[in-house]
Amino acid sequence: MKESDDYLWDRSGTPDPEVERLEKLLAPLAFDAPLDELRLRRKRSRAPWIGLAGVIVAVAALIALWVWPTRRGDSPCGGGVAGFAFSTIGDGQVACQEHAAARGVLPVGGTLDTGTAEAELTIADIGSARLGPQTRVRLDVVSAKRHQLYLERGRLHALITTSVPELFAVDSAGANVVDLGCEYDLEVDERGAGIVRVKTGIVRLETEPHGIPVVTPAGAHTRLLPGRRSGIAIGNRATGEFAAAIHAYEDRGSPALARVLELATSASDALSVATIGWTRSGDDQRRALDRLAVISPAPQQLTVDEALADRVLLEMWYDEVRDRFREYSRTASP
Amino acid sequence: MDELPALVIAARRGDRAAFGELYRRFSRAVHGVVLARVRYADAGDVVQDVFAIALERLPQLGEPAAFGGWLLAIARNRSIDHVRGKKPTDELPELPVEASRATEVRQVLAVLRELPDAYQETLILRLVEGLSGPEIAEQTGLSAGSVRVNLHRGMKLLRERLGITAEPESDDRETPVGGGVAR
Repeated sequence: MKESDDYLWDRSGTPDPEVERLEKLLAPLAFDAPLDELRLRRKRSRAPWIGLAGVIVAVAALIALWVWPTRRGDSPCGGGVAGFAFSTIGDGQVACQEHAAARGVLPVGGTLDTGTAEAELTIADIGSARLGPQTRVRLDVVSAKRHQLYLERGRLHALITTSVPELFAVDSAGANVVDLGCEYDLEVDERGAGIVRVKTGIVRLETEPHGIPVVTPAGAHTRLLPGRRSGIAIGNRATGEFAAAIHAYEDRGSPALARVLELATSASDALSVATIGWTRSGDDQRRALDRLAVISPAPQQLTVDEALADRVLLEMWYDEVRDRFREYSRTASP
Repeated sequence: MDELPALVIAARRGDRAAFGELYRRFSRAVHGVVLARVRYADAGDVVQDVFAIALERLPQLGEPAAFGGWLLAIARNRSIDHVRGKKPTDELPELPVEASRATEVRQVLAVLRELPDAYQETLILRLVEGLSGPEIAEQTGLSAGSVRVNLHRGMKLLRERLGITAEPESDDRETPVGGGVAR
């Protein structure tokens, strides 16, 4: 795929020799003169200078990150180190660092296994995660830039309320699910195979080095396929036939693409086709984008060739398809 | 540009340093928009006029955050007023470039000025004034996507009209890019 427009856009990437040549040729014409104060004085009889010292600068609001306060105690989950508070839901106890407890603090590096119980984990001051039975998590990172759990197996329902994207992520053997401000269900088995269903907002599934991250918006779900790239986002209202065609494509690749494109008609189907266009390359990508141009045309009359030539323009199209999907999800009858 | 509204409000109250900062930030963008329509020799003068008009009209600006788009609209109107009724003159003697390059510079400027408005302004801001795509979006109020499309299509058209046939090939390796963070 050509990325030559990166240099034209912001001088990154491989320099375009013709753009460079024109820049050097025309640079002497760039404007560099000081403000003509005399001209301003003539004009500003209605706006006299007061000569105030200093400039008022607006300060953007900062979100103060809060590492949950620790409590001193002998138990490894009693406090004393940074971590996330937890408590069981209803009766029963969970195993924190292999010690039974009804509540406590899961320390960084520690594991929590719910056994037959369920538990609620407080994610700093940005949300919470409800852990289903037979769920085992490890707290990997607590920092100003990222809070991260590792889901070894089981089911987790996350509700993240911060407006700061990428502050919370759940890693697993299948994918790293990065929160972009949302509520979602994540379920994995011990191999890392599973599914993420997004209720509000969006998540990004990262499966480096297996491929490009997949964005899953509210009203859609994506399979986690350990050892492979992430699955394709599917609208929850997609027909069973379409979902089966997507799964066949995930498992068999290019030979199964024709059926997907044949069945794709709605804004919901367009989400899946756009995901293929975004994450694949070569012939699969071209075929997907050709179909997408029919069922969900690009904004600003962008052509498929233009989208293929410039990944940022492709991303613009992908964003538009997701916006249409959200609208479709909101208005489609159940 | 987070502090732009505060700068505009301060300038509106007569803060000289604030207005000076607005000039520093936007003068190249104004010059680029003016140069799309006005001879180089006159463009600098028109830029100063634009800022003088802007200072006078600043109290009428309803939304300080929209300063960039508002200022460039003044620049376009002032440029049109300037050229109205004037005969086109040869730009050649006025350009601050080496004689050996002057002809080519004049030719490229002429071709740029013949492009559709959206393309010519964006390309002049990028190739002459040296603003990056993100800076152009920030200062004009256009979306980054629109600016990128204008640059891409404008450059394609410019190459065709200048008779440059081949676009550079880049590495065809797939280079993963972040999955489009959207909220």
